[in-house]
Amino acid sequence: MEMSRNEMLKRITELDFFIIDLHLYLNTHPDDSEAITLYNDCVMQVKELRDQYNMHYGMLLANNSTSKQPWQWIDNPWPWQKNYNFELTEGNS
Amino acid sequence: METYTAAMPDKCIPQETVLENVKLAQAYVPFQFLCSTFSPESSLMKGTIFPPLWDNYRRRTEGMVYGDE
Repeated sequence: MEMSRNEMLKRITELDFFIIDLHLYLNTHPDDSEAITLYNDCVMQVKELRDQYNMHYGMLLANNSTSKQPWQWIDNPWPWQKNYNFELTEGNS
Repeated sequence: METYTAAMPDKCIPQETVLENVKLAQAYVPFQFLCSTFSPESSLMKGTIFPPLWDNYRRRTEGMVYGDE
C-alpha cells in the first residue's frame, strides 16, 4: 500500500518517539531481551520507512539522504512550514 | 504495528514485589518491568509508551470541581 507523504512522516515520527522511550528504558534494564528485540524491530522498520520516504518524496535530512537529479533538498517544504507537518489529533491516535 | 505485550501478559507483574535487605528509615522504590506498551500511534499522542506512566489529567474549568464532567 502506498502511503502519502504525511502518513509516512507521521509513521516515522511515531516510531522515532517509540524508539526514544524504549532506549531510555533499556538504559536501566539492559538485560530485558524482549525489549531489545522490540527496539531492534522498530529501528529496522523506521530505517526501511526512511528509505521509502527518500525514494518517493525526496530528502528527509540534509546530510543523510541521497538526491535524484536535480538537487532535491530545495524542492521540499521546509520543516518549519505548516504544510511540512501533519496534524496530531485525538481521532487518529 | 500491534501493541507490544510481554510473552505471558497475565503473569507479567510490572514491578518487583519483594524488597530485600531493607534498612530502617530509608526509602525504596520498587524496580519496574516492561509488561506492555501503547501502540506507536497512541504513544505519540500520550507522550509515553508506558501505560503505567500515563495519567489522563482532565482540564479544570472555572467553577467546576476537579473530576466533574
